[in-house]
Amino acid sequence: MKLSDLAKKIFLIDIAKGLKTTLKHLFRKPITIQYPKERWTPYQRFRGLHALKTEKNESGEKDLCIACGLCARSCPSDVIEIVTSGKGKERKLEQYKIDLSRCIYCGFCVEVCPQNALEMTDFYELAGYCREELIADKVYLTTKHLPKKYKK
Amino acid sequence: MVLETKELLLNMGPQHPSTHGVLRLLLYLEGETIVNSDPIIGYLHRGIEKLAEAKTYTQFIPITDRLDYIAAFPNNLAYVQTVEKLMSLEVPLRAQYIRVILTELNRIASHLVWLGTHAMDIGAITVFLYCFREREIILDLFEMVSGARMTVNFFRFGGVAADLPAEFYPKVKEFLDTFPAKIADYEALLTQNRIWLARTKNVAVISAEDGINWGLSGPNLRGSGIKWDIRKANPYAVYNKLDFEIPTGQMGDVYDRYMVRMEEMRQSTRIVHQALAQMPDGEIKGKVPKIIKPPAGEAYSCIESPKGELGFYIVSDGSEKPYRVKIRAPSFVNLEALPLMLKGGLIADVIAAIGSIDIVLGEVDR
Amino acid sequence: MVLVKIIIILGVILLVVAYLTYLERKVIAHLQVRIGPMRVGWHGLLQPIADGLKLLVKEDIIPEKADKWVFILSPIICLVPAFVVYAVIPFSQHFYLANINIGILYIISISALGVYGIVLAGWSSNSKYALLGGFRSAAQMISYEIFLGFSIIGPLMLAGSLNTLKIVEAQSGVWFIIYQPLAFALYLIAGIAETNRIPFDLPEAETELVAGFHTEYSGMKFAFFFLAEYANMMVVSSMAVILFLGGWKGPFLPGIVWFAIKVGAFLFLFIWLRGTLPRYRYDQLMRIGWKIMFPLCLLNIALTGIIYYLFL
Repeated sequence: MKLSDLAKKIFLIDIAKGLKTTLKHLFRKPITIQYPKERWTPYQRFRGLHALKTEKNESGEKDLCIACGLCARSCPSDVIEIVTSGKGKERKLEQYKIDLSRCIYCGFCVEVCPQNALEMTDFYELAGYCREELIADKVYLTTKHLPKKYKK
Repeated sequence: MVLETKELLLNMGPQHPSTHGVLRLLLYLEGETIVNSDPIIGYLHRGIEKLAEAKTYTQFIPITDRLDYIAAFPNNLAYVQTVEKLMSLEVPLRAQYIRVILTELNRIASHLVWLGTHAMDIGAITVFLYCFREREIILDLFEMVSGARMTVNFFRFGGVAADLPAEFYPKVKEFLDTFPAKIADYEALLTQNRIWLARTKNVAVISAEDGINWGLSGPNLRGSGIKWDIRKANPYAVYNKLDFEIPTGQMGDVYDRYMVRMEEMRQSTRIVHQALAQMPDGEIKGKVPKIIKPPAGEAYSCIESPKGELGFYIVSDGSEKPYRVKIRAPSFVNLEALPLMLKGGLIADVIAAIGSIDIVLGEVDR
Repeated sequence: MVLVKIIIILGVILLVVAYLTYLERKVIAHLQVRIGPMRVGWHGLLQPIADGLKLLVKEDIIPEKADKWVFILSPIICLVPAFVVYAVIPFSQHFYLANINIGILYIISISALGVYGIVLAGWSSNSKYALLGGFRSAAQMISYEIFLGFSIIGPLMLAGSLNTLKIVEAQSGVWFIIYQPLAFALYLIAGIAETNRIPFDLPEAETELVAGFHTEYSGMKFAFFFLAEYANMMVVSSMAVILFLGGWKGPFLPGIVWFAIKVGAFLFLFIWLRGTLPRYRYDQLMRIGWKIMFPLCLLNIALTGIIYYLFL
């Protein structure tokens, strides 16, 4: 062993180096955010809660969805349930349900939609008090879900 | 009078602070010395291989995310690559580069989780937070690209789901530029620290010969001094166009495995740098039939995942759903060598050994 | 009069110990680029009180197979000595409870009692993790107690007294840390080991033994161990200040403030070390103790003796 190595060992240089590193960080700005008060904004492509898009025309709001059922078929977890009425051109969407408790947010339903009627929003606070609350129906999916303001 | 001694049977896990998830270890102890040990697995079994038989080929991609959940891109890549082999699909060059960039970033993220938890197990709590700080930046990048931080579901047969967004490039450059200094921080806290050396040198040694016999792969094998990396040995994607080194150790102890992974993080940074520079413009998805129906047959292909050799073996009967999917999970194979490493060590060494083989129970139990 | 003093000291120590947990959480958080407690009160200032209340009203579980009386007694055995030693610590020139001639001996012998609480806690829990923690603790504390004792012989020789006040008075000119740097380093290491802090926190090594000797404890009994650990940290720091850093002595400010500043610096060092270092292994800890620390302690005593005899 060289003399300098021995000196390093006796004077605990290795440990001092570690102490210096942590001390350096003591005066840095913390990187954490105080979650319910401060929020982070997800990026554009974020896969959060689904939203059914609607189109406004003279007769009021109209679903973009044509009830083709591709989303239901592409879903790996089999959580989409579509109820339709009418045949052929008259085919209309009656009810659209997503069981959010089993959804894995893979985004395949959005990817296959030929009408771009389905999209994923940046809403991510999806906890609920019961299972029924987690079954999103058409009304739930078409109305905008803005995060509720946190109150202490 | 001769006092009788008895072996102490200690049940460690599945709920224990440092068994990395739900691993259960039965330790047969003589005092604190380990006579024998017995890993018991299956607490996270979800039947993923069987699940594959009930899903279409595409539907199985998001499920591969959940194998090794801290490194989802390599899982995607290994699976997608095998199906492409089965169908002989062409993947455009740009898509290949995107795959390499994301997979290598994921390697860094995975190694950061390993380093943080491993160091915390040995008692250095601060390293954990520093590692997660950097990992957070990588996860941000993943969210930017794929829309999810961990279960990315991004690679598709014949390409990737979408091109990299424009805001990705400056962010990743910034990360790559600052990251080497961060590695130096971790090293200042650990590499030469006498306590760290005392805890990792000559602990849980596995020789090169044993390593091969037990089928180890990845950094665990390289730590024993064997230069085996599928990125070099059997290059996939565009790895043959990239210049990088394969770090190896000599002893095969915890410290060597630590050094190998630290160096791998630096090499991954280099790879991403080069891939970003070389990446051509062009298509991100090749010609792929609308309905994925591979011809009857079978294929195996593997990649170098952060944990080791991750392979998918798929048997197709020509229908929309695979007939059988077998996953060669590196963590599962690496875990088998654990009792060998532990023999004769102390309880404290168990923690160091589990940390150093870097298992993810999602992949072990599947 | 003495009773008032006891109440004041006990109250202040309890409060300081409670806020020591807060300080530890805050400092470690900032070392790790986090913030730490923020919710209870301004910047989480009421957090220790909230924690204390929580522990007080928590369900107190005694395991079915535990040795009930020993299980209940051991936290008390742990806590009481940690507070009793404050009797002889001079916080300033005039503020102390007792001025006895064997002050240092009293501190060492009383604080050594705490180990019984830990061993008994590990034994009575009737759990394997707790038992291993108790064993480790017994071996560690008994051997480090010896070095703790040996390392302070140097300054005691210089002071020529075991009386805490006289030791401080002996440092009127130069602090003993200048004469006894080796003894100081040895004392510090032994002190950290004695209080079971990282890098020597083997009895409770949470990633190995879950929580070591107090794995089975909950509620107020758990809090007792917790308080004892932090109170011991303060005792070790106060001893270091008295023996090596000139006690309450310092310019301008009143003595008690100087004492608090010096103790505070030690406590910060304890926390800082915890935020930086990994943990030693059990056998390595014993090896360091007996093969490195012990000869060095003897060397220090011999050197001090020779120099003292020749030059003073």
